[in-house]
Amino acid sequence: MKKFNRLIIRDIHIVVKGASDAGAALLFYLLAIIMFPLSSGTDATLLTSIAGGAIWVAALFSSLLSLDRLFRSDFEDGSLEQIVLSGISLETIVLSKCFAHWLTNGLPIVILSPILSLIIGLDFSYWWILGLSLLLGTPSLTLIGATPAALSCAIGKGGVLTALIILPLMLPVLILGSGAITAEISGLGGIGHIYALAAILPLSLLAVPFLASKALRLGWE
Amino acid sequence: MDKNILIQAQDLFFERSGRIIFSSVNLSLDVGQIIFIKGKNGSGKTSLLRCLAGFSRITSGKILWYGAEILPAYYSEKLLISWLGHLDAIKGALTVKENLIFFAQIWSVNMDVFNESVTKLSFEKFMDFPASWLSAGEKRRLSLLRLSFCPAKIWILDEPSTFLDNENRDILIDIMNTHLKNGGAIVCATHDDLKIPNAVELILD
Repeated sequence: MKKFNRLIIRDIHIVVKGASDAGAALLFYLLAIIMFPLSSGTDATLLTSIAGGAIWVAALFSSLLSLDRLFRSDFEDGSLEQIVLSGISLETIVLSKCFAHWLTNGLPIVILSPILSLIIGLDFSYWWILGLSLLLGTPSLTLIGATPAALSCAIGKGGVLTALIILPLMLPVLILGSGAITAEISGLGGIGHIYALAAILPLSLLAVPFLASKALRLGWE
Repeated sequence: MDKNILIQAQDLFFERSGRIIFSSVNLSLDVGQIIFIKGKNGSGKTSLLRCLAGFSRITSGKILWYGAEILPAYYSEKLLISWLGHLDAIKGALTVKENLIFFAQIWSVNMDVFNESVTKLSFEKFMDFPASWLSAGEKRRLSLLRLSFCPAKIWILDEPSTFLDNENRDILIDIMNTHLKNGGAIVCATHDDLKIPNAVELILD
């Protein structure tokens, strides 16, 4: 556990020093959301109806942007080899990296979302469903993206290819997340979507550490 | 099998997509022993070391670590081996000190041992530099510094003397001798003639 915390602190330290894309990905999230009112006009009803989807799409792309480098830098400079020999299982390392990614990407997205919902014209009274859907959805986005990110290290290619693999996998989370907000606005109640999102998280939490470590090991063999 | 033997490898055979990288390799690494692995480029030195570290699985044969088939790269209870490969595992954005302290902490290294190593490689004045400022030779020395405080008994080194000048090569030999004297053991692939008494040579062809 002490080592687990140490790994997370290290990853956050590297983000703070600006050596990863985390800051840029967050800025991308802000800018992408601002694009929607600028491109779709100022019609308040139209904006309200697309607000949930817009915020979720922006969150998904922001997560996608920073996921490509989730393991790459440590894989390419040999840090991952050193850490895995230090008596820490690769599964634990994968989990710690996902957690650090969520703390630096997912959590800020959740915290910023009520403020951004105002920019895009979503009534402030819906902040709780927006926040809740993102709080449950963003960790799943990180976890789902981890295995393709690990695979991209193994084959030594990244960027667009990783995005192509990750995007379809993330669709269920996107549909449920934005669906929760749309359903709540239309009066149907979004809590059912939230339950489904809450079910995806533990499933990915269980499967991903094994899948991603398997993928990373492929790269070493 | 003798449990005191740190690494025992029998009849190793390794092939990669139909190409035989090395075959019928036997070695046995005991406490205080050093094995130099020599051979021309492409003779499979690095592949053999990666198998000994547990990163790659051999095609056939058997490797035992401490008398058991626990691949160090899969073993999550403690640090079994120290690995120095072609990659330096240094984060350019962090300072030299932050780079070193991270490993010292996950390896639970005593601070006295840590400081002693820093003095030995005269890195005191670099400690607050970002690691990206270091030259290739200095980065190699930083890797050696990390190696010298690593508490693992078995050291697996791949070309440790690249980028090093004569003075630092002597320091490397000194570090290796100290480790052997303290009950450690080393497997080292190299092209250089590192003079260490009682070294065993394994030649791959």
